[in-house]
Amino acid sequence: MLLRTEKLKKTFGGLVAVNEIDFSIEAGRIAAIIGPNGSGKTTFFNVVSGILPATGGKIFFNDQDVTSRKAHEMTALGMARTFQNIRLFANLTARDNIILGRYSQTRSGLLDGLFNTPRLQRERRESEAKAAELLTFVGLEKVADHMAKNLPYGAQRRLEIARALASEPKLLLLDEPAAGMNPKEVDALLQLIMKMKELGITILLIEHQMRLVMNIAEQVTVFDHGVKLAEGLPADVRCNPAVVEAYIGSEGQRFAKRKRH
Amino acid sequence: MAWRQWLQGWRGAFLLSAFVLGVSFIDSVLNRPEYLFPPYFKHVLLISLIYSIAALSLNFVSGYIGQTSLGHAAFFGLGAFTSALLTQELHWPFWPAFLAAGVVSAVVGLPLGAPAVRVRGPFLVVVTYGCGEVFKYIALNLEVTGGPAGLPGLVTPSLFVSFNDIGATGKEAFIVLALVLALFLAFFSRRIENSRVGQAFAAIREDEIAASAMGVNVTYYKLLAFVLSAFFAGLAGSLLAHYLSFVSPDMLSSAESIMMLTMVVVGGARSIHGCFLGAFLLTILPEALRMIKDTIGLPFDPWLVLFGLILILMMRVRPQGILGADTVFRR
Repeated sequence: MLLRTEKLKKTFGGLVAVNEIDFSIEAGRIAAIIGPNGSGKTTFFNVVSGILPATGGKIFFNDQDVTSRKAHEMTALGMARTFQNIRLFANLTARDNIILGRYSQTRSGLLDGLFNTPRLQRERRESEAKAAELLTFVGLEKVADHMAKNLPYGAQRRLEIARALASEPKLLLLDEPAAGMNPKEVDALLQLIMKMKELGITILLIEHQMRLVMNIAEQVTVFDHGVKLAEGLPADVRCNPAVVEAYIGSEGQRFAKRKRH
Repeated sequence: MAWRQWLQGWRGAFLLSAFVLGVSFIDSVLNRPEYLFPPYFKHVLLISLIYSIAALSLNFVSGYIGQTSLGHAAFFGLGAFTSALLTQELHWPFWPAFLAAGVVSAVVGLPLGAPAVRVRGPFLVVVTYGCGEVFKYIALNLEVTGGPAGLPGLVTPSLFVSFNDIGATGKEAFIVLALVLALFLAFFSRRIENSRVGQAFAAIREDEIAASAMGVNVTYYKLLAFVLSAFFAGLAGSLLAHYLSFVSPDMLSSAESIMMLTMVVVGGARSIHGCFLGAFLLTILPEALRMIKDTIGLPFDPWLVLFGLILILMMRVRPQGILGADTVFRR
């Protein structure tokens, strides 16, 4: 198991956002987390990626206990992520955003900077080459020198993925990558995710677009009110009565049943 | 703006050095009874250079990591008092006391940078302002710092001969030392901008959470910015103290902090040339206005009125500062 959580819990005051979740994902797979708004999906991501500390339970990454690791340590261990409300470095160029994504792969420090050492120069060359490669990979090579904030929405999403890839992750967490995309952009995203899988990257995504989830996910987990409601193959989860109820209520469930017959 | 591009890079540094060295050496070489450049002119030049160092050091915090600090004069004054006390009480020579001023400021800057790890924006402004005031009142009330009167009669630095014996007016050696330090700091800042450390600073300035998701240790780099900032401010303070041969608690006042921040903001945050421009502008303008006031017999000093107008105009017309990058500041 590449990532595993044991009874992972996160509370904000009296609110239990993530309630004793057991979750695991095997290396090389694509898994999706779905659930209604406010079901704790993004909080789960934030705790797993170290941005928020866990209230209880344990997180294992590569069979190593990483429960109390901070976000920057998780990145160094090989976990990268994107954000639901895009968090690019808005006033930097697309290329510089990706070069910053390489931060965990480079080592030079203050003195390297002062003396402009060969190490710094080598790392700079490598980062620039990698940035060019990744810009091509996500199809943004033409806007490399545009400021991130001036890019169209779909391009910003792809740039954020490219920036996450720059850290050469084993596990990539995508928080609603298709939010706000038109069908054409969703298709491009789908292909991009498949390409990343071929590179051997394990992908865990939160998504509301069922078309995307049902097409690519090999494992779907459903969250509701902070607890795990269901887990399994996409087709099985879709027919699970509890899941249907969580999404559209018991009325909808009756409707769904009637439709199936 | 063409003139801006023309000044970028080494050309600006070269022009500044040529001007400063010219001013400081011509009188010494000419060796005439009347000075070509009056000592007052050189005084203003030196003060401008010292404030350039202060502005460049503040730029680490308020420019690179984008955190507004209103307590920078505390580090400046701390350096001044440290080297004053070391030379006066412990009879240290100038050079080790000068370095110690930077080190003491940096060591004190570390815990003062700690709140910046947790708070930002207006909250950090209040915290840094408070810290600065605490330092001022400590200096005002301690016996060893001379209370409100400060410490007069500091030693003049000497390398092999006394600084007073070098040059025609006794200011030339100081000017050269301040120039060397300012240019080194400018060079250091430029190198940092182009290094991985500069990338980390930029990431923190833009978005702290995204920065940490890239693997940037936000705590470490924020403290690093504060420590670097305090170190160079301490050196600048020491230089000013020994030049004036006097330190007073006024050096730690919030008015000084505000002035330093204004230099960075007016010149252009994150712009090295901007720090020089801001420091020179805000040192020379009040002096020039005072002369105008004396000549035409104004009943009041127009400086503070104009200072306010400049700030309002800047925020309206060019919030990123005269030489700031042409990206609009997030407000």
